[in-house]
Amino acid sequence: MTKTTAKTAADFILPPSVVTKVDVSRLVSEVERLDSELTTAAVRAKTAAPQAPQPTVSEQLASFLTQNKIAFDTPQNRTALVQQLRILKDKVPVIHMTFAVQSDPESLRQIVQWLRSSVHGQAVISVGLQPSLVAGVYLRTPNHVHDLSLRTLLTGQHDVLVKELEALRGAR
Amino acid sequence: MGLFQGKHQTKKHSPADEVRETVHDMFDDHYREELRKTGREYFERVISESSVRFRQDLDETISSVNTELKDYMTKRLDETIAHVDDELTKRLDERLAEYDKVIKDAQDQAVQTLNRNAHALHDTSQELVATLQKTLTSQEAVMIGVFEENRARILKTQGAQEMVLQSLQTSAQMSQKQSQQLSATLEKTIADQSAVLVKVFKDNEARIEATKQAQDAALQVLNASAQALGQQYQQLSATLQQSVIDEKTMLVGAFENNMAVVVEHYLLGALGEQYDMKAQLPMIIKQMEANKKAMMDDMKL
Repeated sequence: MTKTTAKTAADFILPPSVVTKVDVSRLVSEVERLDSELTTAAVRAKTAAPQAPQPTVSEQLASFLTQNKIAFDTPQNRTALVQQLRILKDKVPVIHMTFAVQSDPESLRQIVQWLRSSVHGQAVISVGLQPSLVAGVYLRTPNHVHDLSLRTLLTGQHDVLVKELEALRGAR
Repeated sequence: MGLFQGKHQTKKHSPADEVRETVHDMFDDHYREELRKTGREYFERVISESSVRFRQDLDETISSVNTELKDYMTKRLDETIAHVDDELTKRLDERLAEYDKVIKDAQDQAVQTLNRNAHALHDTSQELVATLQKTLTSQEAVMIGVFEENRARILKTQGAQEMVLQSLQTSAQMSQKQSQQLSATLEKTIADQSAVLVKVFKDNEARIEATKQAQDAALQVLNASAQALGQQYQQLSATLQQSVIDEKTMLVGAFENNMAVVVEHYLLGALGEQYDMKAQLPMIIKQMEANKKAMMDDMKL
């Protein structure tokens, strides 16, 4: 946190723990809160007032700052970071993914890692649930829909199943 | 006061003068006024007493006059009423006497009239009895005459009846003869009719034969039709069997389609219960890998 860098929103690397857009929003609000607390502490130090307890930093923000090597010590840096994070929150690419079963954080993290390594480095997801999909995922990018569910797969294979049944009847 | 107004004058006078003067002094205006006042009061008192007394006298007089007047009026009224009573009694007695006389005369006249009527009635009844006796006598004579006439008529009627009986017997004999003639005629007619019927039967026998032939021909046509119907029935049966087979095939096809849906349903249900997110993850990533290029292109847009 001590190194000074001038990174923009497009240069940020999102850690695996930041999965959804809500996580990005949480990052922004936490940085704003920390900036406010650190500024208050600085003012208190100048007035020789009793010091407030050291502000806590979440794991997401800590890993984000570490991965991006962002200095958080001066008010100027904090203000710039808040501005860039707000831009990131507005522009981050979101992929809506609807699953057939309840998703667990570990699986979501793996999917996000694949998306960031294969599709877009700052991609986040928005998770939905639809049990009628049976299995697979219903995926919606900003301009397209990819139905990768098992139901759709079986519907496409309906004729094959009928032929198999006919063959079975003929064998009898 | 006036009595001593001139007492200081000590001039000597004669007694007469003194008396005169004294009198003159005594009877001055004031004294006269006093006297007038006293007199006025006296007169007022006297007048008042007199008026009271007069009023009492007047009241007594009025009351006595009233009493006397009342007595007088009562007396006069009694006298008048007694007079009127006498007059009325007298007149009523006179009238009653007249009425009694008139009633007595009327009763006498009524009694006389009744006596006369009784005599008249007695005479009338005697006349009626005599007339009735006469009438009865004449009626009896008439009845006897009528009875004699009726007996003669009855005898005459009996003779006529015997003649009618004879004529009836004669007509019965004639009727018997006529019936015999009619039966003979009827038998003859029956024989004629039977001969005619036999002739007609012989004529119809040929017609019956022709009809029988026509029936045979119709039976042949019917048999041919029945054979044709049998053939049509067989054709229909074959067509129906073919239709049933086709329907069966179609139903089996539909069943297979439905069975595919059922199999899909059970398969989906089984898979949905078996697969959790971790199990699906490789397949999801694999499918996303297959669509990776499309996703990247979309993100670049």
